[in-house]
Amino acid sequence: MNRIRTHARNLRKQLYLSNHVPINFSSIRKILDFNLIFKPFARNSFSGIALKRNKYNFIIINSSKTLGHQNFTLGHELYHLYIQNNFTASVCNTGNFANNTDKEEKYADYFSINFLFPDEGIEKYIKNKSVLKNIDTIDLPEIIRLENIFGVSHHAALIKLKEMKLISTNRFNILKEKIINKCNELGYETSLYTPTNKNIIFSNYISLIEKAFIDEKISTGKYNELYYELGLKPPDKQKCDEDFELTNL
Amino acid sequence: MKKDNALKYTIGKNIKLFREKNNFTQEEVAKFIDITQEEMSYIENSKREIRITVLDRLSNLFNIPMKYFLMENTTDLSDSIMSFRSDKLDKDTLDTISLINKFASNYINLKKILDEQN
Repeated sequence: MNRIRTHARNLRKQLYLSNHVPINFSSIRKILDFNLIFKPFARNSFSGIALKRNKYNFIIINSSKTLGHQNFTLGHELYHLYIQNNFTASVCNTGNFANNTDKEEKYADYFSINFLFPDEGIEKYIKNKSVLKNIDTIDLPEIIRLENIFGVSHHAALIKLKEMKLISTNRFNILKEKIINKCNELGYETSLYTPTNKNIIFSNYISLIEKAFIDEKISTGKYNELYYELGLKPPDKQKCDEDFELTNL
Repeated sequence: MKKDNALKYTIGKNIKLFREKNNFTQEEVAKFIDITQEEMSYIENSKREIRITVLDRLSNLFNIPMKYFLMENTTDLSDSIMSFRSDKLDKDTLDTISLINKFASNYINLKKILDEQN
């Protein structure tokens, strides 16, 4: 897994991000230039889908999963699109780590957790540095604080802390219980642990439709079709360049 | 009548070919287009016609132009199919595969027509 960790560090380096800062996917999307849709599907359905076609990259995230899981899935899909060789398309159920029988899916999970939640960042933000030397001394409030700083799911955070030998398997099993109540008690927002159900597209797709229409490259019929096919409503000439809310998808 | 049967045969054969190339089961695709597995089997075995709107949905799911369903020799074309790797394909997942395929092909076509202009 050292190779995967190196890939995660290298991608951060490529994005001029130190290993201490939390990932901001909105900025990353603009730098790496991928097309992204958030849409709610069944809670027990897939986590995300990635597709590489020609030189363009596309991701769909199931927004009925928790925000922490969605962030984790985005990191996972970045592995497929920017690290994995000869990748074309994949439907992903993320966060299974070692239990995943598919090698690339497993790598993508480990990539994501190292990309989102790097060792250096964890070490920097831990208040009491002695917990770094003594297994199972890090407490739950500190873990919750770390996962809220880096925007990672509780499960993924625990996997990483276990990998760093900060918690044992026994402690992992105790800590993995639902923590929303604890989070409330500590005064953190619970958004990381709840679904967002967002229905939104982040892409210059709309700008392309509008430009093609203004330049008379597409008919009015085609113009409307390009909106409706993605579940979008053609605007009353009220244009939005990047973010566009989906309706009736 | 003979011509209709030949067309039904070609379409059915191609649906089966592209479905299998995508690693989708008959049952999964049947759910996607809201029919029973039995009806799906009838379509693939040219015992039942398929509506054009359904063919359009299948072309998005399989990521192929609709005309491929009408072509007699599609074996070479099917070799270029890129299937989605997945261990679980429920209806939501197939709907999303269809959506992402549509998104990508619309996006690439728009890029192409705008690039041609420059």
